Amino acid sequence: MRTNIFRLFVLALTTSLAHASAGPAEAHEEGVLTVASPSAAAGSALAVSGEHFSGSTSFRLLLKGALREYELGTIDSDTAGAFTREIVIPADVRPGAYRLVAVAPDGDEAAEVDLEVEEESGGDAAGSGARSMTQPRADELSIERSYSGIEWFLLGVLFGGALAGGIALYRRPKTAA
Amino acid sequence: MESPERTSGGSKAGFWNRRLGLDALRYRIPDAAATLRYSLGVFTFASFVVLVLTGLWMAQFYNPNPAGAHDSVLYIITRAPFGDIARNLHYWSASAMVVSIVAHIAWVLYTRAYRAPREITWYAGVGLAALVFLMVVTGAILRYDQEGYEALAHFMAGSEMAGALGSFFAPDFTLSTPVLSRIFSLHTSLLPLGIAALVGLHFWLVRTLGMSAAGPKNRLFIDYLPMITGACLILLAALIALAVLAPEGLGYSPVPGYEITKPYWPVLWIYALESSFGMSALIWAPLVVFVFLAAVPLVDRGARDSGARIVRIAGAILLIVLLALGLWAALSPPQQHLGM
Repeated sequence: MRTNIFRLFVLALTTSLAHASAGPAEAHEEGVLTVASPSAAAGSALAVSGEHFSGSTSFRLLLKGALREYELGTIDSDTAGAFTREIVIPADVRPGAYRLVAVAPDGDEAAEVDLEVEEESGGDAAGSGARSMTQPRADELSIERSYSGIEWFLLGVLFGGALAGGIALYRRPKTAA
Repeated sequence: MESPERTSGGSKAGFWNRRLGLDALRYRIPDAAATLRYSLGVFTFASFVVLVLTGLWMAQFYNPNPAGAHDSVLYIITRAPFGDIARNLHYWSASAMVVSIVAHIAWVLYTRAYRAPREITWYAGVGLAALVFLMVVTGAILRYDQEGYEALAHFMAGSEMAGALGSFFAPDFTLSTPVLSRIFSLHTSLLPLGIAALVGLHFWLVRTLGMSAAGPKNRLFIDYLPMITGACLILLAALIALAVLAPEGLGYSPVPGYEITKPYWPVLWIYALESSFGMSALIWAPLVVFVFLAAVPLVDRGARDSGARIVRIAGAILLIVLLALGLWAALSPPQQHLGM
């Protein structure tokens, strides 16, 4: 029995090592994306440049945050795989930490750069986003919570197992030494 | 083929006993020790284990940068797999840890279990309570909503008042890392390491010196383990139920320069003292509590009972005052302390 387990383990290890040493099957080109400033205000313009991309190709520019992503349009690289363009950060972008990502036509992320979006200058963009306000609030956000099926399953197993196991162990007869 | 140890040992238990030294747990403890009131510290430890596991999971999604912290907490709640469950369990485990540690300290004071030769066990416990206090303070900051931001402002003010001791958290200590990131590393690495070390010392001393309960030692510690493990599992089930039925909320993204919220409940008593005596209470109020705890084995020693009376009366008054202050702060409207 133990020999079989050992064989299975060796087989799994060998397969993993062989897979890892094969390297990426479809490596994408490594573009370099650069922004004029590491931070920009919502609604402002920002110069973006790129190099080492595939030549004469259209890339989608996305601004990806923890909660939402914004489509910033497309950029076309020249024959040498470079481009320079001014983009406008949408005024409704919530201030925060983002990644500016260039997406190749096949859907791969060709390059990315960190970008911090600050509150729109003028500060009157109240309303839509929790970040886009200038008056503080002491109350709590209204958050829609929902658990997936697997989360409910895990919770049920954990709760049921802990309660049943706990009661069984706690009520186990205690013996004197 | 079965190994010789296993067959000659006669059972699976024998196999593991030999390899893990489980026989070391077959030592005698007093009958009275195998009860819940003598096991309150185990609930603290069980809460700590849940906190570590849920904290490790949340750390995969949390962004300790001021620009992204609040959004990342929202991400944990709304999108990260098991994120909301982990966060709610983390919150309720922290509350359970605070309650159990206070109950544990109160019981040890009442039973005078801090007396010789258990002074070091007591001081290890006091150290643990201090680290848990810091965990509560730093954890409340990490949510980084309006309440978290104001907690950070208080933390910074307290650090400034602490002089050289607080210089690590001064904004100009380093320009390379935001204070929030340093508090995150304190909360997730330094403090848990300190707690783990002191828990190890505490457990070792309890094992070496024995449990303090009086009476004949008729029970084996290993026979007490299933009972206390069962109690910890029931606690876990209760925490899961609370996590689902009463999930922890999140405030709006912080706006600097305002003070409009009240802090996490375990530190409400300090908040009340700040309202009455000013910001200096941030420093002296916790100091009073911990100096009292540190003085306990020094006050009650020797054969006389007068020290015990002083410790019990002072401890009871302190606990009542802390509870009353916390209740008062909870019921009164928010107040400005920082003059922002």
